[in-house]
Amino acid sequence: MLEVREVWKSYEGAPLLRGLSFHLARGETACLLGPSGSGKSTLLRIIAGLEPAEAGQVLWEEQDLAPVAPHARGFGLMFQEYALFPHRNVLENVAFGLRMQNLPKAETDTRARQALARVGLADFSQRRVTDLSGGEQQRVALARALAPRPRLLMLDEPLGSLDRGLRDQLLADLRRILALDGTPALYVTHDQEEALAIADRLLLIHDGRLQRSGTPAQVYADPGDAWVAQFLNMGTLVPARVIHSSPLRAQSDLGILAPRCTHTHHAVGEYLTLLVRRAPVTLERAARRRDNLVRGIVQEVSFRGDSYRATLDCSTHRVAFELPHPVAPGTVLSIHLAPEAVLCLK
Amino acid sequence: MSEVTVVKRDWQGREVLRWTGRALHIDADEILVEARFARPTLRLPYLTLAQGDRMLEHYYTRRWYNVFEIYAGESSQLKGWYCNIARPVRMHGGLIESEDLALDLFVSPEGNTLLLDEEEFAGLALSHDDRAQAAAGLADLQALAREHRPPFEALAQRGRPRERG
Repeated sequence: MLEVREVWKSYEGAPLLRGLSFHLARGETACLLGPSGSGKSTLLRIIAGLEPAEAGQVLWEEQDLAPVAPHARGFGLMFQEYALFPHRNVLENVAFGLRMQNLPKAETDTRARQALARVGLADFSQRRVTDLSGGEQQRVALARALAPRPRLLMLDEPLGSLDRGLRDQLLADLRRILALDGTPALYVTHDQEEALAIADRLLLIHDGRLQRSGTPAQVYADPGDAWVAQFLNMGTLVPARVIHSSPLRAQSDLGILAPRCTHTHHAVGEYLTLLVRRAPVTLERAARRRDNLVRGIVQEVSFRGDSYRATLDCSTHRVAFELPHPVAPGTVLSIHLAPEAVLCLK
Repeated sequence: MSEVTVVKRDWQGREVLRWTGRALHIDADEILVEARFARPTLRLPYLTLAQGDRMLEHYYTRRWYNVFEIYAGESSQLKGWYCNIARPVRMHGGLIESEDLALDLFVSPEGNTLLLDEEEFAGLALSHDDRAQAAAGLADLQALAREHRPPFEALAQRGRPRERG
């Protein structure tokens, strides 16, 4: 459906997007995720036609959109400042995008009511938008964006201004609504948790390029490189040197680690970057195994409902781990990392 | 993300004014822009515009006018609708370009209408087609206001309109 092909754009003389490419499939919700200033919003503006690309193309079903004006693209937009009309009631707000389609008023009302029902606000049609909570206003904005049945919905940090609890609830709702509706969506955020909750597919943007793409599960199973692992806060990056190539063993400041590795071969002496994930560990009292055995002093400990999360200070690195029972800060501890908790990134 | 620039041109395409706002809605027929009145207070006999007044600017891609729905500052107090007879708007990139044909219509919150700058409009060397389209646009606007249809739907909650000019 949507294809972004080798798009380039600079900002104040510096390159912002550098040959960025991706596809969006039918019915898919893809999440553009990257740090502030990575060009996500600019990319959305280019797709919407609000800004030209310096090079590259945006295509819809193989058709180059460059000559198509923003209003003729049939894309729905929903921004962080969701811009409801305070002087119109809920139904009028939702009907706004419909009233130009030359439908009879009854049909417009029916469609607007259907859109409201889809976001769980069937009984809110006559309410003033200024009387609604932030979350309710957000749903009205979503209903308004969906009512004209756009062929693509673009959402730019739509939950940016809401508090965490409300966001979690709305994210679940949004995911359900988008899945039910079948409208392909591009969702822009800088928030990793939000991206994971909403996306069928993550598109991670770094240095103006697509750094990694995949389902959240794929990206988490294999972040691919150190930047992605760090940006997604997946654990601790540890440099290491290969001491045995098959099975792979590497010497690091944490000790000898036995990483999971999807690469074909690493020669003895090669330098690697390993990711030590935050994962459940077993405590090692007798040092029977040397691999993946990490020793340090327990720092912060916090209760997370079903487990305890703690940090181990290993002098050069800090390693986060989970335990089923509490452990006192200051304790000297040896933990055994599970095989899947250590990953070779290169 | 939603910032756009509005360029107002005269009937010959010369730039008169430009300002920025944010697009609240974009579809095939209409672009709705929210902007703030940025100039010093402007006192007209039928309307006072103050700095910071909120303008909801309705631009149409196939109609011969645009409509500024004006609210006092942050409030929802409607000051009226200032309608410019203009050629259909063109949008490319984040630029909205409107060629103004001088003739204006003000619609008060009560629905009273006031036709403005008729003489200036009469003096323009417009083509026969432009003039006919402008007249049809004006008639369309007057009908929308009279029938409380968008963008004048707020009139439905108010009194009956009176024609005044």
